[in-house]
Amino acid sequence: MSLGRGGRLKLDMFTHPVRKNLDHSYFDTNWALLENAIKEINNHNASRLSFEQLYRTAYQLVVDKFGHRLYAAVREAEAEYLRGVAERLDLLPSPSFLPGLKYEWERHMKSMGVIRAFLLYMERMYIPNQPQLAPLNQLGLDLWRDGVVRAPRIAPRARALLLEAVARDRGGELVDASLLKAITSMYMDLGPVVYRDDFETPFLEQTSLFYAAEAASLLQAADCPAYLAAAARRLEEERARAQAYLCPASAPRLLGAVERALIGDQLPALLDLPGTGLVPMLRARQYDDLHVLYRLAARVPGGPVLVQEALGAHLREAGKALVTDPERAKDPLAFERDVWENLVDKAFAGDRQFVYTVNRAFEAFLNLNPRSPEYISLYMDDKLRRGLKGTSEEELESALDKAILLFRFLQEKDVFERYYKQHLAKRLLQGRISSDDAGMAGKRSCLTWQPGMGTAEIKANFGGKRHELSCNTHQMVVLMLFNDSDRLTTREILAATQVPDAELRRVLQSLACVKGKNVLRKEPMSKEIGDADVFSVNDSFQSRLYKVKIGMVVAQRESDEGKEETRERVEEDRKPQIEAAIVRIMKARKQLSHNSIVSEVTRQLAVRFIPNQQVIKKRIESLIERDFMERDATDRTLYRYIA
Amino acid sequence: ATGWSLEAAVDYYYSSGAYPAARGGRGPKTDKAAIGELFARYRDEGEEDLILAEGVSTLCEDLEVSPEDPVMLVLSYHLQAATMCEFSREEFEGGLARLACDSLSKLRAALPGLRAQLDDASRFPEIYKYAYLFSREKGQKCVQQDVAIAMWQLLLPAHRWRYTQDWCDFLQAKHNRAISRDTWNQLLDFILSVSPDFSDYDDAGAWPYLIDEFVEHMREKQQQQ
Repeated sequence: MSLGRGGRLKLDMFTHPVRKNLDHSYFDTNWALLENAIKEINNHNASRLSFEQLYRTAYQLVVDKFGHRLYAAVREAEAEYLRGVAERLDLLPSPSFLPGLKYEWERHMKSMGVIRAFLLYMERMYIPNQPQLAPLNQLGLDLWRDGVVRAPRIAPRARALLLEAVARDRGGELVDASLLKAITSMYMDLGPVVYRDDFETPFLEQTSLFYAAEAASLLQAADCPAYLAAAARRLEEERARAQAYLCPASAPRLLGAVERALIGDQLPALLDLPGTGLVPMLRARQYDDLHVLYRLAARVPGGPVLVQEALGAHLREAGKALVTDPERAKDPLAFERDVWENLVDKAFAGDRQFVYTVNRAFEAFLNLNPRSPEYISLYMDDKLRRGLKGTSEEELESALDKAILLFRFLQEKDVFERYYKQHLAKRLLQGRISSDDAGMAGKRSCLTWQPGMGTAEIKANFGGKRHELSCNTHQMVVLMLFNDSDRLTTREILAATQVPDAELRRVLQSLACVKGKNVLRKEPMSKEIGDADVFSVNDSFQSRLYKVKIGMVVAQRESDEGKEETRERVEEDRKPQIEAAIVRIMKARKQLSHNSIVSEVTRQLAVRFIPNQQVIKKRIESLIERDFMERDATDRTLYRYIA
Repeated sequence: ATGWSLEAAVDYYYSSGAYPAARGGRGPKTDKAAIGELFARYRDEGEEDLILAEGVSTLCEDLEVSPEDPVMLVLSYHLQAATMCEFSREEFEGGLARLACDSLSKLRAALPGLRAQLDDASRFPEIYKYAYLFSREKGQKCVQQDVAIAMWQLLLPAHRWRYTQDWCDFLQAKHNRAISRDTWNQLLDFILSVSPDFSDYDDAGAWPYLIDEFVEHMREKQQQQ
């Protein structure tokens, strides 16, 4: 026999169809030919076979209604062959097992190709009409799956050796990636269910276990940056591994398992690591390490939120420590707003959620101290008074910029403005205006009368020596009293001048307690001004200069009275703003419930201050009284606008 | 239910069936001339169309009631008197005609019925709200605190509200300013809807701030006890 053009004999078979049905040995005889051929093909001896003869034999069997028997016989022959394969594989020693499996698989697939070729007629004309029969390529896969891959002595061994190879790969040993790729491809060819159940699921389980153990051992070193670097490295490796020998669809699942084990499960512990966790990294400004943390945390669900929460908590706590410290609270630069902005940019890629976290924290701690608005204004006042003494314009500008950055986090912006106005007014009256003021002054026109702010020149006689004293109005008023009296007590001066108490005490300090400027003598000599202290002209006053400039002892901060007064004025200023907001809202909405109005007013005014609920309520009542709005006749919590 | 509108109040009055003659379905048979004579008896010497304090006082004597008797407030409500201790001719004659009282004896006989309206849950809120308008001084929008307190004591004796005295003491200690109409009206709602131990009081509700502060004051007081 030879594969090639068919001879006469075979053509006779077409012309003698009569014999076939009655002859019991008809199928067996023809099948014997095919069965032998299948064996030869499986043994790689196909070169001696006549393809045409095989094809025609199979064709004739199908035409003569032996299709079902032919199919069953092919299946059995192939299964028989694979039983032998499984037995051979079972005998292989471990190192040869996976290569053997690969070899047999490839052989099987190749043989099935050839067998299918001569059974083409059956495949085209018979199988499609038999829904219970799998196509031949599928039959080959199913037989391989059931006879080899899932054979009791093969399956666990294949899996174990495969996972062992991966483990060695992870351990840094060199493995045959093309072999592993071939095996995983085999599982893929057997279908997604086989791939998942026989390979992927156990593979991912092993991955999780491996990295849970690795995470635990890495954590023992308690070095957060080192851990993060190792984790980043591992993720990179796994990405390469997935590409080298996994189904592409497995890559996200593999990386997910690694991310969960290395990052997700460990993130809280990592952030809290004493000495190297989030807070120490923030303190030491380890921007690069923080950036790695940021990138890794972004890969696990809930990771960024965890980092944000820890960041926010730290910042609130650190800020609270500053803002409640009586000295450091006065220095807006101590809050390092610029540093934090820079940090979010560099470490957290300017992520808006992180910007938001930092901003909320600033808002939270800055407003813990009700004097923050005053302190920021005072700081700026101080800088502007000093002007360019000892600093460059750039330095001054940058200091002011840093302070004003905090303005937006103040809830009570109007309080800041009130103080800023006051401080600006004083600077203007004292002629301490700087170029920076010039721009801001235009915006604020309302100045208050400051009786202590004028200047006066007084000619005075001290034991025969004449001096010209330059002083402010209050100091002048006090000095003039001594034209008529030799000795006066604090109480008497207070009664005679009516200068506010706290102010007067500073005036007296500036006249009697400053070395070189002590034109008055105080008994007893001390820094503090008592009510019964006695003042007289200091006859032994001496100065090298004819003109003596009497300074004013600076009030470090506002006195309590002044503070209360400022507070009251702020509250007064707020009333019309709250009313205007209420009317604006009611005009637009016509009717609104009490709670909606309160929340809407709060929302609208929040850019300037947070109005108190009771204050809003009082304003509503006042507007009702003035017939701008009324309560609904039946629902007392509903207000109506009166046009 | 009618606010401060005379016409609406009159309509309400007739439709509500409170007016005795209206129930019979017939028009009131009152002697207008006799009412006119009654008005002449009490009107002020210097005023053609007004009964002033002196006339009101005489009327009280004739009716044998004290001027501080809350029934006089109910009467004023029915006359829709705009100001305390004053009845205009229109108010007096119109009001008595609606009450079908054209003689002193009829008016005297009507007093028990009027007094009972103070305990009538549908009528009392109207009388209470009216009392605020009635208590305003001429040309004033608000009622002074002392006048309001006197009115509360008149309208809200202890059996109507157990905290009247506490409320008045609280105002005298903490407020001492005029009482707004809203606060006046809301107080009755508050009395009628909030439990005596204030347990169901909503601090974030729309109550006037004075009532908020009162409740807070009372809670503190009750805690101390």
